Amino acid sequence: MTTVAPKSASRATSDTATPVDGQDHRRERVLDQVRLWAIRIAIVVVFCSTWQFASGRIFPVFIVSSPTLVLERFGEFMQGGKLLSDLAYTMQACGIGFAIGALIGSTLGLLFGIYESVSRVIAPFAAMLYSTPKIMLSPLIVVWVGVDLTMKVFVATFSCMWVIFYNVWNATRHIDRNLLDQFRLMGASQRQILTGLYLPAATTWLLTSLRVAFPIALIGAVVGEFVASSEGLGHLALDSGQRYDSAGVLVAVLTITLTAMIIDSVLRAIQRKVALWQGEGVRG
Amino acid sequence: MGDASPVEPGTGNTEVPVVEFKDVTVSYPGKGVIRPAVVDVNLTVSKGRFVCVVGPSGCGKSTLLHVCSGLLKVTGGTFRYQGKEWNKLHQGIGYVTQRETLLPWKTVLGNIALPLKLNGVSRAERRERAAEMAASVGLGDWLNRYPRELSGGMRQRVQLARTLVTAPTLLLMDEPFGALDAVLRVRMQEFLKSRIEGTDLTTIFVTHDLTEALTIGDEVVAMAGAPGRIDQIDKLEDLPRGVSPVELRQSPAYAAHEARLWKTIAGNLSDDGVALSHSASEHDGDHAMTAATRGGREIS
Ligand SMILES: Nc1ncnc2c1ncn2[C@@H]1O[C@H](COP(=O)(O)OP(=O)(O)OP(=O)(O)O)[C@@H](O)[C@H]1O
Ligand SMILES: [Mg+2]
Repeated sequence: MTTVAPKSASRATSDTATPVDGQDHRRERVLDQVRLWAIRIAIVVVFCSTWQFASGRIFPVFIVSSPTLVLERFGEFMQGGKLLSDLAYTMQACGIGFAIGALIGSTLGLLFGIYESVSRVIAPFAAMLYSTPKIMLSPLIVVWVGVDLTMKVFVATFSCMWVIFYNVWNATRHIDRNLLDQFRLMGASQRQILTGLYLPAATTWLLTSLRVAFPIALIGAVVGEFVASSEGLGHLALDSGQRYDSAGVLVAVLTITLTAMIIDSVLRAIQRKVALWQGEGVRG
Repeated sequence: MGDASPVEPGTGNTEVPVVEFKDVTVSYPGKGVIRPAVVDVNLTVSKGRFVCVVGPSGCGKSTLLHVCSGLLKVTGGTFRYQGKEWNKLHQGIGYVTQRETLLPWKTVLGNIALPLKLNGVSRAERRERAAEMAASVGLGDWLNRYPRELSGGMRQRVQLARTLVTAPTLLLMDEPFGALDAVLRVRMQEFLKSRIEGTDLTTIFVTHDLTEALTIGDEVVAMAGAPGRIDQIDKLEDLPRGVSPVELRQSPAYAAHEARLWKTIAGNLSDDGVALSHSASEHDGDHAMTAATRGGREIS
């Protein structure tokens, strides 16, 4: 799928090239892109044709469905806005859960990271929580808050906040002591050290962890719907599955995947901007 | 810079010294046998003085500066800053540390203005002062660049500018011109001198370069290693001032100081019975000898 590493290397070559070379380079790169996309589209076309051909001939339709069936089902679900309202429901749970998780995770990470003594005490507990499959606690969350949207939000929050906490905590703990000393020598207050040093220093890590955390929050929201729901894409997939409607399951999965990819590309764009600003896009 | 009352160095003033080390010992906490980093340091620096500290690598020069800044506590003896034994960070310190401490996410202007910002100077004023300071270290055209876009020497100049912009009482500098080429180094020395002249800014300046120390210092403190201590304090009152660096280096007084300090720093190299019994010379010996014979001044 998508690569996490910024493509600074290729950009650097085109930046340093002379104008004439630059033109050649650009043309080459465009051609390269065209080739790449031609191959990708070819793969999709071949895959879908094979699928369409095999469906009903080699494998039973109710197991593998078929591209046309998926499109058909997509049209059906779109009519009356069911698909969109389910998408909205899931994204609402995921979005709120993710936001709360990011807030709690980064705040705790900063606080615990700043106070070294706290860090030393909690380190083993943090390691334990890191290894716990948090999603298994969803039944407990049902006990706490019931089965409404709140439950899905909680499951999403609870699944995704740890990875954010862990990253921000580590970034904060390992802050450059020399920078910290310099801040204190310049007469910075605790608050100024927090906002002027710790926050910017942790930003890179925060963004990286947000990108990792978002799909986790999404899984949380969907699992929440699996546990109990009458709405949402998770429910749609589960419901379709129970009616042996493979196409319906696939429509739900594809919808959620595409949405997640769009959101990831936005996060990645932000991350790349910040990485440049943070001095990681080294030039020359 | 604050009040510009010129203070003649060495005028028998009775006021409290800015910095006073008395039998100071510093040990870093560590496992096993604790070897002190510096021992028996006695040093008094009065207001307006420019003291250069030279000595081999690892002899505790940075350690002394850390004590002066208040970042490090002494483990024995007493240290006084402006007459007081402080136990927290000292006020009015400008410290150009050996390790670079620019913020990668701030521009040259932002980095230089940082101490002003932390002390509540208004945005317009701090930008103006920072820009002026950047221009005076030759970075006027680089205000909106980030540290990663600068060379090592330029970054050091940004650090210097950031330190001077606050008009500190005590200026601590740990090899600030180490990464500069010879010409720029001399220019920066002259710039620093011109900044300091006519103010009562007190400076402690660590360098590996004896020429540099003799050129800009009022006195030179020579340290020796393992464990670090002060071996010699050489006052440079008899050196001609206000002459060009070349003329300075040709003066007989300069040669006398240089020879004396070399003897100390190079330790047991001397065969005239002074025999300064220190171990630092075992790795510095050959190197120092060749450097001395070809007239170089690098001492570590
Ligand atoms: N944080 C530290 N923890 C333990 N030991 C240290 C620490 N900092 C310095 N030392 C020790 O103290 C001694 C003096 O170190 P210091 O950095 O003051 O030397 P220096 O004269 O500045 O050397 P250089 O010229 O290489 O910068 C060294 O032996 C070093 O090993
Ligand atoms: Mg040092």
